[in-house]
Amino acid sequence: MSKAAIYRKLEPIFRSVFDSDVVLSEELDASQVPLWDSLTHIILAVEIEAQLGVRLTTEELAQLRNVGEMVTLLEQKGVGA
Amino acid sequence: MTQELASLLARYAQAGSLRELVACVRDFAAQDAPQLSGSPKIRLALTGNYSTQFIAKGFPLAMAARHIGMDLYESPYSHWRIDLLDAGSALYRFAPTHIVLALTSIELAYGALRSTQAVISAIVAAVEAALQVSEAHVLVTLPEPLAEELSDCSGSYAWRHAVGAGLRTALASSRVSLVDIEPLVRAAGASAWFDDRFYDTSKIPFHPDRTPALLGRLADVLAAIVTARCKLVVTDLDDTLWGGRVGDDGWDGLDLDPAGSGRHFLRMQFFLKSLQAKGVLLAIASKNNPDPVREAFAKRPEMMLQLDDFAAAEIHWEPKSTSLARILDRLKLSTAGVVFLDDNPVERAEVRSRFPEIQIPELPQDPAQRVAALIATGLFELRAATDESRTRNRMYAQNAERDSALQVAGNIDQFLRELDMVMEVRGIEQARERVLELIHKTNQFNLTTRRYSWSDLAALVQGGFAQCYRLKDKFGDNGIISVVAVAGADGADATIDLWLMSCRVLGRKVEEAILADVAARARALGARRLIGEYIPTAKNELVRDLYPRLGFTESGRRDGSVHYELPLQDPHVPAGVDFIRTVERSSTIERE
Repeated sequence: MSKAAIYRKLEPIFRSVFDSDVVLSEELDASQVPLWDSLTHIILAVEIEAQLGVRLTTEELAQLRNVGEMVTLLEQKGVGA
Repeated sequence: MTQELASLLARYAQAGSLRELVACVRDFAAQDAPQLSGSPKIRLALTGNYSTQFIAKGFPLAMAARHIGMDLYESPYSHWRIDLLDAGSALYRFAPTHIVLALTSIELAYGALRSTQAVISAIVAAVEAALQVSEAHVLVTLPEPLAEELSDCSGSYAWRHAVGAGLRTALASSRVSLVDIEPLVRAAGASAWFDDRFYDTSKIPFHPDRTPALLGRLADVLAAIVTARCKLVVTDLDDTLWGGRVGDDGWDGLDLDPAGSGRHFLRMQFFLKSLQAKGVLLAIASKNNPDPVREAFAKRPEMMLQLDDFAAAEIHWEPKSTSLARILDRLKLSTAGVVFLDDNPVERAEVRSRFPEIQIPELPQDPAQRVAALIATGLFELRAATDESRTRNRMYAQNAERDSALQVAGNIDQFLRELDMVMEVRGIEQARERVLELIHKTNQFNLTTRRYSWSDLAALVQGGFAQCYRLKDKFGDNGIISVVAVAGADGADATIDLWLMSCRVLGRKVEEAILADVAARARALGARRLIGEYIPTAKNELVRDLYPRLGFTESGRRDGSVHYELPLQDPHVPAGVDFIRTVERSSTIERE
C-alpha cells in the first residue's frame, strides 16, 4: 500500500524533471532515461526533498541510483504512510 | 522577438528553482536560432574552483534575457589556475571577450592554498595572466561567507574580509570586475543558501536552487560591462536634487527636510552619491544663475552632495542639450552610458531631440517614487568600484577647469518648432489669483519686482493694459507663465511697469512672443515708443540684459534702475517668433 502511494507521488516529479512520460518501475535507472545525468539527478533529489517533505543525508544523495532504492528509502523515512 | 521567446524569457525571469531554470534552458535550446539580431555578442569563458555546470547551462539564456548573444567556453572542473596561467590553454584559444572566474570560499579556505596571502596571490596571478594574455574583461566573484561565520568565532569572517580587501587592492583595473555575492547569501538567508551535502556530493557550494539568483547576478554585471550602462549622470537641480527653485525660493527656502517631503530629494542625492562611490561621474545641467546654486550647496548642511562631487557643472540659461554637449566635450566622453535626469518633461524632450542615444529615464512626478523608478531601469547595475574610478570625478573636475568652454551650436529652433507652442493672452482679471501669486513669488525673471496689490494694479493700468500669458505645448499646459502691466499708453510713451515670467519656460523664446504682443497692443493704443525699466535686485540678474537683447536701447539710469526705449515704428516693431502661435482668449480660467 505505502509503496504504491510513494510511486504515485514520485511519478509526476520524475516527469517534470526528465521532461518525459516515464513510467516508474523498480529497476528504472539513469541508463534508461535519456535526460537522467548527474545534473538532473541533483534536481531530482532537490525536488523530492521539496515536494515530499523529506531530508536526505549526504550518503543517501550519493547512493540513490535506481527507483527501487529510492522508494525503499522514502518508505523508511515515513513517506506514503 | 517571437511570442514564444518572449514568454520563455518571462518564465525564466520568474524561475526560483534549479528545476524551473533547467526547464527554461531546455526550451531555449529547442528554439531554432533564437532571434537576437542586432544585439551585441560576447565570447564568454567560464572557469572556477567548483562545479559550474549549472551556471554554464543557464548563461546563454540569462544573457539573451538581457539582449546579449553569447558563445560559451566552459573550463573543466577546477581548471581555473591551469586555464588562466597557461597562455596556450584551451580557454585562451577560444579567444574570450569576457572571462568569469567563479570562486567559492569553501575550496579556497580549506583547499591547498588556504592562507590569506596564498589565496590572494594565486587569484591575482591568474587574473593578471588573463589581462596580459587576452583582451578579455575579467569578472571575479569575491569569497562568499562561509557557514561558520554565522555560528562561531572561527576567524572565517576576518579571513574573508582580508582576502576581499587584498583582491580589491591588487586588482584595481578597469578590466576587472569584482563581484560580491554576499548580498545574495543575505537575501536568501543562511538556511536556504548553505547546504554542505551538495558540495560534498557534487561540488556545488550552495543549495542548487540558489543557482538562478547567482546566475542572474553574474549576468547583470556582465550586461553592465557589455553595454556600459552608466558612466555619467547629468542631473538637473531644482525639484530634482532639492525641492523648490533656488532662484525664486532662495537657498534657505529649499525643501531638504529629512522628516518631510525633502527626504525624497535627500534619497536622490544619496543614490547619486553612492553611484559616484562606484565610479560613476556626476555633472550638473541646471537653468539657474551660478551664485544662488553655489550658495545653496555651501549653506545647506543637509546636502549629501557637494559641488566638488560634480565633474562638470553647466549652470546658465542656455538649452540643456548645449550643456550636455559641453559636458561631454570637457569630460572627453561619448554619449554611451550617459544618463540625463530632469523632472521637467520638456527638458528631457529637448535633450532627447539632440541626443536620442542618451538614456533619459522618465522621472515620476512624485519625488517619492523616483529612486525606485531609477533602480528599476536597470541602468545602474555597476561593476565593482576601483580606487582609480573613485578618484575619477575629481580628476575630471580639474580637467574641466583647465579646458575652456567650447561653444557648441545646437539646432534649438528646430526643437522649439516641434514643441507646437500656443500662447494664450488674457486680461489679468481672468486669472486673478495666479497673477497675484506670480507677482509676489517671482524673483528671477522679474524686471521691476514690484509686489503690487490688486488695487495698485488696477490703478496703474488706467489708460494702459495688463495681460497674462498662458503657454501650452505638445507636452501639456504650463499654465499662466507671464504677467505684463503697461502704464500710460495715453501719450506717445507706453511704459512696461511690470514684466515677470516663470523660469520654467525660459530658453523657448517666449519673451520674444510676449514682447511682440505687448508692442502691438501699445501701438493700437496710439503709443509711439515702448519704455522698459530694469530695477536690479539680488535675484534678478537673469534679466539684466533682457531689454537690449530684445532690441531696446538704453535711455538713462536713475536710482540704480536702467531705462530703455524701443521706437514702435517699422522696422523696429518686434515680429515675435513664428513657432509660437499667439491667440487671444476672453474666458476666465481657474487658478492653476
